[in-house]
Amino acid sequence: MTEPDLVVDARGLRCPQPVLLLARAAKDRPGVLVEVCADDPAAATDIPAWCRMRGAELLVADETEGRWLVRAPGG
Amino acid sequence: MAQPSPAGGGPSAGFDSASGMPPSPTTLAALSGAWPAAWADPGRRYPAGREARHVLDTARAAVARAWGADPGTVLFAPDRATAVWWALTGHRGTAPRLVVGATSAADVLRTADVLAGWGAPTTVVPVDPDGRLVEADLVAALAAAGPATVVVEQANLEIGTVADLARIRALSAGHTLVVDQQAVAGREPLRPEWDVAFADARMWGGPPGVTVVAVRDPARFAPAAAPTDGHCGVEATYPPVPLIAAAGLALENPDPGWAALAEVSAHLRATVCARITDCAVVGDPGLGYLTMFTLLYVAADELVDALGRRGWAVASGASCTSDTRRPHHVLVAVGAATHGSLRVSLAPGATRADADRFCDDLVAVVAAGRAAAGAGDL
Repeated sequence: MTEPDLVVDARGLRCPQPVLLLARAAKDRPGVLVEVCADDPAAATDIPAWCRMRGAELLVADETEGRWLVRAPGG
Repeated sequence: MAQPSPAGGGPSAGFDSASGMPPSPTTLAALSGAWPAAWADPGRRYPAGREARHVLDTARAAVARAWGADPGTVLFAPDRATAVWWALTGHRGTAPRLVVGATSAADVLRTADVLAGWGAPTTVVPVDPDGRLVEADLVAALAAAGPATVVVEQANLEIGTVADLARIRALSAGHTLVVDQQAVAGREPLRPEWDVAFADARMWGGPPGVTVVAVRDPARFAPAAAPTDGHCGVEATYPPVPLIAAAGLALENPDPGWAALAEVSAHLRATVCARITDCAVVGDPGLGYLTMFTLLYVAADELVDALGRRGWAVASGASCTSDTRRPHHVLVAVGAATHGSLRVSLAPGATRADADRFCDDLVAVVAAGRAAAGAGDL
């Protein structure tokens, strides 16, 4: 199990907050591993879409648990 | 024909033509002329009834010409919900087995869901990131036993992706192909690959209350168990003839401005994507008049409201601030970021200059929205 460098707890926050917090965590930290926890129904679509648009790598997408593991672009 | 202008603005309100069109002067004149002439029940044998019958037959013939259909197989439903119901349940001989594209309109998916709940085997076929049916999944769904009713769209009204209907027709040989032509009727050429097709007259500037359902072969498909006299027995015996007449006339006089919009849309896409960071075009827009943008870090509803205050009528595919918080199923199906989705659908008359002015406002609104969200530096 890969350990994240940072954990973003976006539970209870509505879109686009989960993606915004993920982007904040990844900013200026190339290659950092960010775990995002979110329960907004849009997060399941928005987090993978953010990864694609920003060139980040989506390592884990657990929609049931509301948990995503993302490697920030660069690094 | 430009849509009504906002107070103090140019023709800028007409950026949501996908939600319907205002009546053209021709349609209004047709409606006010047809109402007193054809108010009566077309089933009656006295002169007023015969006149209504004549007006109805004329409109039906006009609509049939547009669809390349036999007039006797063109039906008028009062709304899309009814049209969808007829289309999804009309297969003759066996209980319906449904194969439905994932980006189908919400009313199609809802109806399929109801039928599934009643025991109709139903498969929702996923789409690729462009919004096209995944062929392997379509083939697998069709491989199951028995004839199916396959429900697809000629083009998607949210993202503008145009289906390869020739391919879908070939793959679904022997099945009933139902095609939702809402996005193209009266605007772009209607493809002939369908067994059943439907579209609402409001899309081409007709009045509300008329949804066309065209049927290719009533012997194979009729939206009622036992057809009675004419028109498969489902159409109202006292249909709204004046509305149908106006819808037929509007369809016969399409606005020539639709064809010019592809160039304006292409310009809009290039300009928006060049001027705004973290912006993408969703799907593979082949519809000339429509583009779905996705803009990171802004809530779509706030974007739509801010643009509305600047006089622009546009739509979003998300409801971040609504209680339901359910992202639009089309955006989910193609895997696009849902929160900052913005659908721009041009109406005839929109120019490159309009697109540039819209882009100026969009740049300002997105910058303000991102700054307010603390995303200005992301």
